[in-house]
Amino acid sequence: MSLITGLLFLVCATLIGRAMLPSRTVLTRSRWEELGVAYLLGAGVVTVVITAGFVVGLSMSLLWWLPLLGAMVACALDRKRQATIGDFAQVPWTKPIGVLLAVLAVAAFLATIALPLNEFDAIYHWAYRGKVLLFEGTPLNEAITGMINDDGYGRLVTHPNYPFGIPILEAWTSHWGGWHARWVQLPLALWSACLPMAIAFGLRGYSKQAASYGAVLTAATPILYSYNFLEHGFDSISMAGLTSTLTLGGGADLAVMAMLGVTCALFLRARQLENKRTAICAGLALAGTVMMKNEGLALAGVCLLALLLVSIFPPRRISVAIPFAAVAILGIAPWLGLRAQLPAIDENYSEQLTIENVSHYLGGGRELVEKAPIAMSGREPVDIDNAPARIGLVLASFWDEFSDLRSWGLLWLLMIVALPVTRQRLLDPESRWLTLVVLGGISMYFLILLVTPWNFPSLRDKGIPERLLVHLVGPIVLMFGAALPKKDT
Amino acid sequence: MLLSWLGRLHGVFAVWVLLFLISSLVLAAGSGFRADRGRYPDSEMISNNGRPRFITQMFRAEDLKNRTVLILDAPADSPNYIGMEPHVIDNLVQGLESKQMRVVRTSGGDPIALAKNADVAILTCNLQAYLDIDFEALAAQMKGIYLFDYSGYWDTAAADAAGLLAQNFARAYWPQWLDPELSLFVDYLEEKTAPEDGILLIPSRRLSTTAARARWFLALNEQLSPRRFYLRDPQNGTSFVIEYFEWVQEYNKLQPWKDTQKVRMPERDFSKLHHLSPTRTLAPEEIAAAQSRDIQWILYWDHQADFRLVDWEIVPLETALQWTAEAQR
Repeated sequence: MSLITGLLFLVCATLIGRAMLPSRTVLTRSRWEELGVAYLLGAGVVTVVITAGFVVGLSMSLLWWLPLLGAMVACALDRKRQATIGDFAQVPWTKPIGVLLAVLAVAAFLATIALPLNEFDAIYHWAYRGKVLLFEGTPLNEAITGMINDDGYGRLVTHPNYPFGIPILEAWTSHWGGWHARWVQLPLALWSACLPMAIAFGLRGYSKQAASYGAVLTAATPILYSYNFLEHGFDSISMAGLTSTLTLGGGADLAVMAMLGVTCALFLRARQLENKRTAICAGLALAGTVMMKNEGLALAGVCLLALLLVSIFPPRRISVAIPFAAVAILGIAPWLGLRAQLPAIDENYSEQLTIENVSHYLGGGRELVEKAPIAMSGREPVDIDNAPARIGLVLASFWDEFSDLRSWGLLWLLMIVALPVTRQRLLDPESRWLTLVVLGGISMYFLILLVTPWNFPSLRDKGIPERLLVHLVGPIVLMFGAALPKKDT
Repeated sequence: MLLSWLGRLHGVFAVWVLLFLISSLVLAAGSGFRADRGRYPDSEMISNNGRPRFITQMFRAEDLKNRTVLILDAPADSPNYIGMEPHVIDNLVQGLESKQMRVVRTSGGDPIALAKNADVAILTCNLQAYLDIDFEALAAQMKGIYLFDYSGYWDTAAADAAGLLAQNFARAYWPQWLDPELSLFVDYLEEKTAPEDGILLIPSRRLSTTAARARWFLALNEQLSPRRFYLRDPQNGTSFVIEYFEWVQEYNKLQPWKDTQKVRMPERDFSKLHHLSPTRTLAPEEIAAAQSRDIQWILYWDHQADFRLVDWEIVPLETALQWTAEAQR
């Protein structure tokens, strides 16, 4: 039954997202682009609305019906605008490219559900929350809020103030048929499949060729599926799909990546067309990004700051900037209200990101080796006096990632060659915004890791910064697509 | 020109991606679309020096000469041999003999026949006959109950059922939630407790490891949801691994078990090692924590990197309170 409920979610989210998009005569798109964008937008909107529902005291069992009702309303609206919605545009890619994209999308979907949840974060951070929503109906329950008490005893929950986007999708899927560690991943199985479609949609305004390029470049980026594949040679191929280096599955990083990617694609088109409805969709998608993981909030800040900066110079396109920012803020606000009621025990980046901290570490402040994992016996004592400078370790880790072809392909090189260093690119306001989002995102993650209160080498072992940088795949490919000269493609 | 060529070059990574996706799907199909422990790398010995400290410290120094150690080893050139390096076994044997312990090596032979009166048995390799050993027969031959598994292959639940205490000394590479004993215990707790029950986790004694894998309470909390699990200082115990190290150290400083008494259970539901249950009386702060909440059960545990049935015991709160009251009388 959970399988059917999961499939039902895919349909509902797609219908909701599709109904929100402007007609195809205004916002041209192919069928596949529409499906990709619609699913991501719909899934994001569902998480935003249900999070808002929790804030006003509604329970999951009641809120569960909203996507279903939304899908019905969407169907009715769709029928109403049947005559005016317009036809699908042609897909921007050739048939062989289309087949390749389809194969990758289907394989990514199947690889996600091939195994039940099998990764630390997916199980302990997200599935636990999903079960709380399923069984208790709300995050405002002792299972999440009851961690800290005066007597020192409390409930077990990892990172209690993480957002509830993924758990909402999992709990929704479990509503009929109960929790199933494989099928709860159904709504999460389309992130990598949909992003290439969303990128093609975003780049359509530049050229069909740029759209086709964007889709292929996105789908061919290895970290959309896994990182460090075959790091230990071909002998380790037996571990494919099994290790913690898998990005597909029940984690949240691909969700952030997909939601930020569709946000940027929608906003790009909104600005090009000066279309408010598309800007509103982009704002909702940005709010959806925030619902997926705590870094989403910081990324939303980067997007809005980048918008503020590009609005200094004409063309300002205030008519789309304001609805985008306003809807995003309105969508995010309920989560901030909810988060304020949850225990904040760690990952309080804003507290760490002070001028004193940043200048200390930029000036060569040493790594917090005393926070290094130490066994109770049998290990060498930590040499605090000769600890390396934190900045060196963080820079080295970023360089490791930028030069790691097996995880990223040539993505970082594509980003560098697409930087707006020519007059033509500088004159493209969309390119300027995308560049600020990408560079702002990288800088933000660099600063966060520079001041993290934890031992950085321990974080490195856990897949940081690659699991953060993956969030930026969408805007990077959009930036590259925007830089492709038409005659060159 | 440069941009489009670089783009095309990046597009070639689609082949890499396909290789990954196809491998994932084929291998998942090969294991019945389940995360199979057998697909993870073989367990590795933590000790590569063969120091016998763990074995010798179990007995009084003056008593070591009366103890016999059975070493289940095999020639390193046996087919598909995985196990201790021969020189490490030699070091181990020398270390034990220097303490005047009697050492019997199986060298690929039948361990049951050689196990007579052994106090400790040590598995050093993956020889199939040793992995499929009849623990009941082994227990009938041995004088002691201690099994040291340096290869990580023995079924500790089967050993427990035969009344033997198996300790896994190998580093496992499969994730903790795939532990078979954990699954057995989860099934047991699902039957034993109601979904709405509250369960207070109480460590039996000093937490002896900072291994992140020892956080079995995370798995129980998730797998047995919506049962309510309570822990002391959970913000550190469940947080990032660095906070967890601090949690272990803080717990060991606090020592709530210090003034409590061990309770021997005459009968255990699940483990056959009755006299080794992790049960004890409760400290006043533990009683206060239990009574100020809607708690029905006390789940005692011994903090170990390997999940063993012997290390876990659940009792009704009333029983734990009764033990405590009786001890104070």
